[in-house]
Amino acid sequence: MSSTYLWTIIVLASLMNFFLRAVFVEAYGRIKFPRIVEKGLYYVPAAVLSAIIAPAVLTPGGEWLPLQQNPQLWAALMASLVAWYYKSIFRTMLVGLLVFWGLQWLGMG
Amino acid sequence: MTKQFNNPRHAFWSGVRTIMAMAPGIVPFGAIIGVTARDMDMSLLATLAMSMGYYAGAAQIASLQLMADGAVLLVVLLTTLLIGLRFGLYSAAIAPYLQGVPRIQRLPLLYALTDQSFNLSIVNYRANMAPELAYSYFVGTSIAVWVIWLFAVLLGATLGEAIPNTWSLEFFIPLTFISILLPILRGKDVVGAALVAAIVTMLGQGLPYNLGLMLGACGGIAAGLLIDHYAGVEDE
Repeated sequence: MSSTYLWTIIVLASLMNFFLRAVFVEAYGRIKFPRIVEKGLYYVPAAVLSAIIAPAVLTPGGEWLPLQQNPQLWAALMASLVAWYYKSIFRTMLVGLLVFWGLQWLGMG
Repeated sequence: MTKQFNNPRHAFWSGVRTIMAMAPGIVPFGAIIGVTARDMDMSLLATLAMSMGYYAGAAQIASLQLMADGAVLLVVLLTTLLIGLRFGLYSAAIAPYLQGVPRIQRLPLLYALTDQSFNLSIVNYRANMAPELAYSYFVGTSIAVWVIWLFAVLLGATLGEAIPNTWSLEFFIPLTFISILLPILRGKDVVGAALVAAIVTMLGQGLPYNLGLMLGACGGIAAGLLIDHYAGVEDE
C-alpha cells in the first residue's frame, strides 16, 4: 500500500464525508425539496436505524445463522423489549450485553 | 422519550451521559478499527487522521478492507460515498433546526454528526424543545461520541492483539441503535417504515458497495409515506 494511495483516500474520503454531513444544512433555503421528500424526511431516523440494525443482527458476520447459533439475534430481541418498555439506553445496553454474554457462555454461537 | 432540561448546561451533560451509557457499544467498534489499521501496518498518524477525517466507523472499516485487498482508489471512494449517503439524509432532516446557529459553531457540529448524535437529537427538535436546549444536548452527544471514538481507536491501535477477535465485539454497536430506535417507534407509519427498511435491506444484502443500506432506508421512507397517505389522518 503506497503512501500516496493511502493519503489520497484519507483526504478525499474525509472531504466527501464532511460534504455529505453539511450540504443540506448549508444549502437550506437555496435547495427546495418537493413536498413529498420533505415529508419523507420525517421517517429518516426509523428507516436508517432499522436498515443498520437488521443485517447486523440477522446476519452477523455476513451469513444467515440457525436460530440456535445466533446469540446476537436473541440479545437484540431482549434488548428491543427493554428499550421499548423502559425507553432507557442504559438498561437496553445492559440487558443486551448480559444476554449476549450469557448465551455465549452457555455455548451458543 | 423527550427529556426535560432546566438549562443548556443540564442539557449538555445529559447528552454526554446518554453517550456514556452507549460507550460499551462504541468503544469496541473503534478499537476494532484501531486493531485493523495496526495489522495493516498503518502509522498511528495515518490511523488517527483517517479516524478523525472519515469520522465514520462503517465507512472506515470498509475502506481499510478494500485497501488491504488492493482495490483501486475509485472503488474505495465510491464505497465510502455510498455508505456515507445516509449522512445526506441526516443533513436534510436536521437542516431546518440548525439555521439559527452561527456557521462557526454549526460547521464543527456537522463535521461531528454521527448516527448516535443525530438520531438522539432530532427527537428533541421535533418535540419542539427550546432550540438552545436541544442544541446543547446535541453538542453534548457530539463531543462525547468524538472523544470516546478517538480514544477507542487509539486503544485498539496501541494495544492491538490484546483485544481478541473472538469476543464478537462488533455486535455491541447495533445495541446502541436499538436503544434509540425502539423508543421512537410510534404510529403505524413509523413502524411500517422501520419494518420495510429492514426487509429491503436484507433483500439487498448481496448488492455491491453497501447499496442495500440506502435502498433499505429509501424503501422504509417510501413505506412510511404510503402508510401515512392511505391509513393516515385518524392516527396521531
